Amino acid sequence: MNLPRLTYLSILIGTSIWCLAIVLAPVCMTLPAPFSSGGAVVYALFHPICHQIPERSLMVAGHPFAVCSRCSAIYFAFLAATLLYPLVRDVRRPVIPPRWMLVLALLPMVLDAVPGMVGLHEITITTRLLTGAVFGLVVPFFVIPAAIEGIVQLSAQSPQSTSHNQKGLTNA
Amino acid sequence: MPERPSKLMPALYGGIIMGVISGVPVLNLVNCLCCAGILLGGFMAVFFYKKDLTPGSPLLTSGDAIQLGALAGVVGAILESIVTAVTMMAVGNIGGETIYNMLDSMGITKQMPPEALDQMEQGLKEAHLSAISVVTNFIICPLFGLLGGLIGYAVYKPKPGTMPPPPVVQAPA
Repeated sequence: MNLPRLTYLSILIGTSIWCLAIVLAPVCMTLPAPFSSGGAVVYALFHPICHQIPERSLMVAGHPFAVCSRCSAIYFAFLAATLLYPLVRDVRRPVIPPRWMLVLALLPMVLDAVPGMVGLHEITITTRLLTGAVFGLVVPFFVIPAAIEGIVQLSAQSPQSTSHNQKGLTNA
Repeated sequence: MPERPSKLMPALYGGIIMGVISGVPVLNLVNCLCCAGILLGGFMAVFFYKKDLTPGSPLLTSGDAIQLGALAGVVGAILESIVTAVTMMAVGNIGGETIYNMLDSMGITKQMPPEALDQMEQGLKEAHLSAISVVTNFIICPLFGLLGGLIGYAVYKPKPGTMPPPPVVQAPA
């Protein structure tokens, strides 16, 4: 398997494990002792990256996801876009979209969060999910090609690199 | 041909930004939005590196961005652990207490089931740096720092067709 595909697969597997852990935490909490302790560890692992307020989280059997609804939407949309990526783009030809698309994707989340915090607009679970999903769907189209390009470059720079590492990549 | 500038200082600056945002109480609430503070550290490392590039030096590559983001993440994880430990010892878990008081004043804690409230209280009022937090820092910071570095590359990547100027060849005397 060539390096671009291997990099893509690594991102896909990593993102899948990440999303699985988010859902697995509440599922574990519904199970008896050793599993519920495992669930508590997963909650602790995600604690530094999310407030984990139950009122703002999606639930499974009365237990919140390991991250809030907005974070969940971002991560699951990231996973969905990563799955769709090979259908939309050629993995061997990393092309990064124009930067305004990233700003545009971030805008709904900012417009939801900032006026919401100052009381100008009501933030609901629907707005959190939608705005998070928009951002999560766009980010992989920036991250995946940049990661593929970077890994191929680093591999070519390493002393053990051979010319076949570059073969997986075709010029745009 | 001019050499690439050192990645150490830009990564250090990015790591300091990451460590301070993530370690200082209340300021670390920024990370509640998908590690925005950590992503910013990786992003800023690429920004500082890009600033160090002179017109003749090699262009910014995504390989540079990966190295800068990950390195900034390691620096950020060390700094965050130190800053968190020091602030927890000095003033306790101010950030956690702020969130708890905010939720309490909004009446959210009264609507929560007792089990969930206990779990949340335990997490928010914990006033020491646990081993799991340190381990998490060393996983999360390099990972999200790297992501921030890649986003930084996507923003600051050289425009297509931009080539470094050819090296100046000295004419024989």
